[in-house]
Amino acid sequence: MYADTDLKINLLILFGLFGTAAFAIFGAIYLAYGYSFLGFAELFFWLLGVINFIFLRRLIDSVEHHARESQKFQQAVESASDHMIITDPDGVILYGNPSAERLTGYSLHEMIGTKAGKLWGGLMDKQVYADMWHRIKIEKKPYEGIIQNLRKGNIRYDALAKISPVLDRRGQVLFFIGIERDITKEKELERAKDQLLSVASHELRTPLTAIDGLVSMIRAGEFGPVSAGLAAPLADINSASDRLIHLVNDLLNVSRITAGRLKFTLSEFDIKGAIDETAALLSVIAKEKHLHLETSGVASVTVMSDPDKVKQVLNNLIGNSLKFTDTGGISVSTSVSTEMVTISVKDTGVGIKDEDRGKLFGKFQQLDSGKGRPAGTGLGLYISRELCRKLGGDLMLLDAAPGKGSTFTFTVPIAGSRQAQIIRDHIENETGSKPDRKSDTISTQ
Amino acid sequence: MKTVLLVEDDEILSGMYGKKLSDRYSVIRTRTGAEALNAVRRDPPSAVILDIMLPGGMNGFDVLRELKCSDTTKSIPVIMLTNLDTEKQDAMDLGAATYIVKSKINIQELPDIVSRFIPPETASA
Repeated sequence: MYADTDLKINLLILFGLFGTAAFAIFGAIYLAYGYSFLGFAELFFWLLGVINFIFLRRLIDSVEHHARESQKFQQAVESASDHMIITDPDGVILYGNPSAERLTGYSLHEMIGTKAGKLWGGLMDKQVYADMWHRIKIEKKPYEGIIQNLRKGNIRYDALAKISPVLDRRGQVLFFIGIERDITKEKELERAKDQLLSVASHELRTPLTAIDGLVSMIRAGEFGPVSAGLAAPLADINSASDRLIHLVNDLLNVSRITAGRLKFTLSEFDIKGAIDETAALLSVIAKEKHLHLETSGVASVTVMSDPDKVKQVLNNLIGNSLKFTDTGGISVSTSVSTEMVTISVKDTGVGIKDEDRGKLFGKFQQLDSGKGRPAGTGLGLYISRELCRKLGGDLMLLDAAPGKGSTFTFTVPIAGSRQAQIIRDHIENETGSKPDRKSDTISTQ
Repeated sequence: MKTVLLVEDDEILSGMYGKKLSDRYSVIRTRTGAEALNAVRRDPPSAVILDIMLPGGMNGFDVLRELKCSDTTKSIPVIMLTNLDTEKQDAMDLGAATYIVKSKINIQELPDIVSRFIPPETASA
């Protein structure tokens, strides 16, 4: 299209120049000799010259307008804070704006004629580049994602990138336009926030562990006999410090969930083992309250999940049931379908009112369940449900009525199932795309 | 009585765990990773209880790695005892015997957990 316009403009300019020249030459001959030896032809060229002069003027105007417009575009592109490059269909750079020069450290001169991937690529896994190339070159669709590149001098930067193919009328790639925004600072901030949270919770837990452990040892008489009058307040200190530890752990969990930074370690394991282990730990509380804790309805099924997280969910559900049940007990059972195993925790406790059902899974929700129950953080069910969902299952309240107990169920993918594969891929992708931050979190004081 | 090496930089926690384990074991306490490695080389203990965040430029992972790459020390069970709850996989991959989050266990369970990782013929020697 541009080539067509250029040709027309060139022809008109040529024609105009020719006409104007003829007008000048024949005009000069007429003035010098007072004689027009070409007659009509002279008149014709003279008219042509006048018309072409007008045309030429308009053409110049139009070209100037054209130039002003493209200059506007150029100025916009050049002063944009985002890095922009244009490459040919093979990824060879044709243009880069000043932001691209600043971000990558390469001058326009160094960029042009070189493959973009050669200059600042190579830092990420080969598969990432292969996927990116497939998307823009084969599928011919825009690629968008957070990438890591290398600035000149091997300095790493994080960027939010969008690469779009520009196609001709036949659907062939004419060139690629790449736009990147430097998000290194945002990333650093995110990492710092994460680290602060980790360190803060670690630092909170250390003195809390000391209080909890020492009080527990004092109560056990390990520092000498404890007078009868001190038994009750020491027990209160113990339960208060327990609560604080739980709260710190729960808050850390919630902020990790919100930030999408929960770490999962997947493996295949027997769900029965996880249930029996959790039940054994909680059987002490059940005995104290004279409640039965039944797991005979649990089948041996190999699941694919994070065993610690599954135990955390079990601990939360069975723990809740123990808290809200005064007579009878809790029974845990499983049912198996092709993809998932469903674990049910059924109790004979206080149950849940209809109007309270909606509040159960909110953050900081605690239902009014009468006096004398140990306070929780109100985060347990929220965390448990998020964990189940992230691991490819779900958690819900199956059945509950006031005074008639309640049944909670959650699902876990069976090893080898399609759902197990989906979740494995998903979690490996997520952890794969996040750089290892171990060195940040375990630095010494 | 068998010896257990406790690597813990927090004075209060170190005293607490030391006292709790002293009924069953002779407990040697160190504050830093370098001290811990020296103590192990001087007199190999039956088990090492190891914190992760340690002062002095050497963290628990560094100590664990050192212990596991030497033939004389690699068979000593290393029990990670920390308040970091995200490092379990890495510690287990490096050869830790178990990984305990301090705030998630009852102190009364600690001696039994430690006994579990010390071979029976040496536990009561």
